[in-house]
Amino acid sequence: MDDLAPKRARRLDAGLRTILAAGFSVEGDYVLLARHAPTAPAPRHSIFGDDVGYEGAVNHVHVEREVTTLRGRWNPGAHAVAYALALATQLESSFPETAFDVWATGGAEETWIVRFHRASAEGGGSWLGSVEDIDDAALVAEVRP
Amino acid sequence: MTAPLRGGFSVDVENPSPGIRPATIHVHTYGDLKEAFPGAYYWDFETRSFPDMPDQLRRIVYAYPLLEDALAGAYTRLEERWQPWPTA
Repeated sequence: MDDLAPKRARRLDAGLRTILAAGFSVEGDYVLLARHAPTAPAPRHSIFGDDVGYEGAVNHVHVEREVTTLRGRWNPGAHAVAYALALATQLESSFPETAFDVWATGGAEETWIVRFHRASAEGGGSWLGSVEDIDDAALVAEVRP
Repeated sequence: MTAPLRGGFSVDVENPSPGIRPATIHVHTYGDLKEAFPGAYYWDFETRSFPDMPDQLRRIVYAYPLLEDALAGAYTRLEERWQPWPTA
């Protein structure tokens, strides 16, 4: 796993910082990235399956498409991990009573995607059944009250 | 006079947990289009449409001559059969 782990980013890419700076929006029962909330689709279970699927979809970010700096383009994995960790910290401070899972997935064969969703009270309903389900690298930050 | 929007879009397919979570096909925008439509717009497999896509973006996306090829390719990646759109 060590060789899959991206090098650490010294400073989070400006494009990713912009997403965090916009913050979050609570729309009904859902916590969404504020940038995505105005154009978020309806929570149709026919498309998203359940609430975890909806939040995980609306709150997903393709890191390679968001970075605006050379460093970000050169090492998107590091910025994906840095964004995921910063996102987890911001969720924890914004919603101290709520549990979230933050996922960063990607690697040599896949682009990097970071997403979050509230963790279900029962402990199930995760975005991925387990990290064994994916071929490349994955990080999950568990935000727990 | 309104300045033209410059940008593009992609049709993405995602199936991270087969059997656990439904696969999605969704559209992302770039450039000026991303400023106007920053989120993702999801394909409804039942209605075979993007139900939440704003009309302005829908006109752009559906005017793209290779849209059906992109959707058919997404279905192929999901090992599903694409039913061609009826021709006019």
